[in-house]
Amino acid sequence: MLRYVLKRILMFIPIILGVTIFVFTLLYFTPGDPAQVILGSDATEEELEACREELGLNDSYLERFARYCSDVFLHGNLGESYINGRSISEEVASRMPKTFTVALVSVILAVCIGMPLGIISATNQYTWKDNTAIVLALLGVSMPGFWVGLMLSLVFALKLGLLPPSGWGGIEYLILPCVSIALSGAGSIARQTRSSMLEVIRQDYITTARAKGQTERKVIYVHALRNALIPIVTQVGTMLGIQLSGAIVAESIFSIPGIGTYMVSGIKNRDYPVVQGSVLVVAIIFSIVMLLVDVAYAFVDPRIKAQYAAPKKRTAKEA
Amino acid sequence: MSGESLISVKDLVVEYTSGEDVVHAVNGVSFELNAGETLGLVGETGAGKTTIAKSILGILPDPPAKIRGGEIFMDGKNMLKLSQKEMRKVRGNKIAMIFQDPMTALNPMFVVGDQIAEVIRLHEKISKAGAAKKSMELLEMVGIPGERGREYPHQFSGGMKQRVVIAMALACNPQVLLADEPTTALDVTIQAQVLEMMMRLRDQRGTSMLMITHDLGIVAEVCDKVAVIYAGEIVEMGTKEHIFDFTSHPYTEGLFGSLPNLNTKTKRLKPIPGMMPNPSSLPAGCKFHPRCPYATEACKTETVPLFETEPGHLVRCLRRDPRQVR
Repeated sequence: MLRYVLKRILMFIPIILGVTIFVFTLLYFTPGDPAQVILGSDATEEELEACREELGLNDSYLERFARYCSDVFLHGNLGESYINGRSISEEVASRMPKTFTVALVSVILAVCIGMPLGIISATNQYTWKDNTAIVLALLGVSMPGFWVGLMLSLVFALKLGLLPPSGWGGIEYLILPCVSIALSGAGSIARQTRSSMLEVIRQDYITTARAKGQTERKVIYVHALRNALIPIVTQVGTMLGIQLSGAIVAESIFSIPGIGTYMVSGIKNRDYPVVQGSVLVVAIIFSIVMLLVDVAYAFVDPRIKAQYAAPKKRTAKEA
Repeated sequence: MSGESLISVKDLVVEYTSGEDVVHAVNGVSFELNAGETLGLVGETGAGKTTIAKSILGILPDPPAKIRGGEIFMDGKNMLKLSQKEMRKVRGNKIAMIFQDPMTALNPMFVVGDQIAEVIRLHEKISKAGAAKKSMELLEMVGIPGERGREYPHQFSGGMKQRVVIAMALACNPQVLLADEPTTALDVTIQAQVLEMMMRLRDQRGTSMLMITHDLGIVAEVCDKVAVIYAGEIVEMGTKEHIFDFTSHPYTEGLFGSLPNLNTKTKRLKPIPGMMPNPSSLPAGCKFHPRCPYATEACKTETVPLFETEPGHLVRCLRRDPRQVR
């Protein structure tokens, strides 16, 4: 198990290097002159040239890439924003907790709504309960997140005045963005739970559990659910990963000062270091979440744990 | 033969509905299982054997299965009328079932010891540690070292898993054991071991058994009485000796005929011609008539009852009708 985790952490190196090269190259070829952005449109050609020289924009691609890598990986410095000169590392660090809070709350909310819905739907297949649950889930999946956000904001903030429409502060600022993110997540979790439960419920060991005289409740929640969990864990993990990397739409609508809005402002202003830095951080977070998901598999399914424990020795011995 | 009737099934009718089609899986089956006796249910795949066993335990998947009629008595109570709560006290406790495929009958997520302990704790007032100890003893009883109870099903071979399933079924010392083709999924050498062990445990504990199989060899070895099932009906029932020595129904004849005889040189097996009828559109009259070498016009229209040719030997065939000699 530990060996597996270490191996996976080693695999982070090529992933992160790849992401760095990719984002750096993409932005290198993007048209637009950062010097122009920084100095404004009425700067003279000399001023622009001096600025380019100072930022190192006149150096070759390889030189610039090498400089960037050494800053990031050797000094942990993501650089400074072109626009306001503030340290990107500090900015990301101050924004991350907000994005984390929103992501965690909305994923927990989505699981709490989606899983019970999926289980009810699977255990009552083809009945009105199932149909209702399917329609609700479909509604959740198919409503675009930005629209749900705007509608919620319109009703609860502007018309009813119950909740703040945007910004960051106490719990009341969390409710609308989290609900709007959770609704679509809950829909897809419900659908995944339903199909995965339906498959498991038909298995022989479920009949065995019933034949033992076990209560229906335990048959479903102990015997069936644990077996149905793997695809659900994957889905929830992916959702968590995406939300942790910044719910760009929800953060923009509700003006949450998270990593998503930071990235958007970086893109809008051609603030290359900001985009590079935040994408890199997001990639690392995503990789970590995916590793956690894979580790979670082992706790859910003992067969996967066995694979992690001894990947190669076993086949030789058993064959 | 010995003891009084433990379970009696009367005119059991079970249907499966799939869309528009109604599948007549079991059509008026009656039999009795006496204390300490082993009854074999023999028939082809799809004849309705498993459905009968699952009806007794009340674990038919509903929908699509529905018990349309009949009664199943145990201890003087009609089990089809019992509430779910009362039935749960019967399942695994008074009646236990061994399933066909040990590979899928155990939950892959839990160690086998816990799966055995689960059934003990459901039906007996016993501490967690007590149940764990008992589950170890049960594993030893079926020839598996007790400490392997801490292992998961994927760490066992097929034969071992079936032993675990048997240990689980016997955990609460049930009066009746429903064995649904317990050896079909196993290798031939393992089949013999498992079968022998089941017989030994059955004899030690005096358990009655309903042995579902399509293997006449198993019937010969294990059963006291035999009921031959065809298209959801009993076509012939009697003691093992009667069935083997005085085979009366053409279908049973066909079953025996399809076995290769080691004493004569046979190049080809002799199967029964034709296929079992589609249970959603059963033929009128005798359900076996399309495949029967003796079929007459009467067989195509008349509903055939069970005739008692000798005490205890029942045959569903017009050729055995005592009123008319054909």
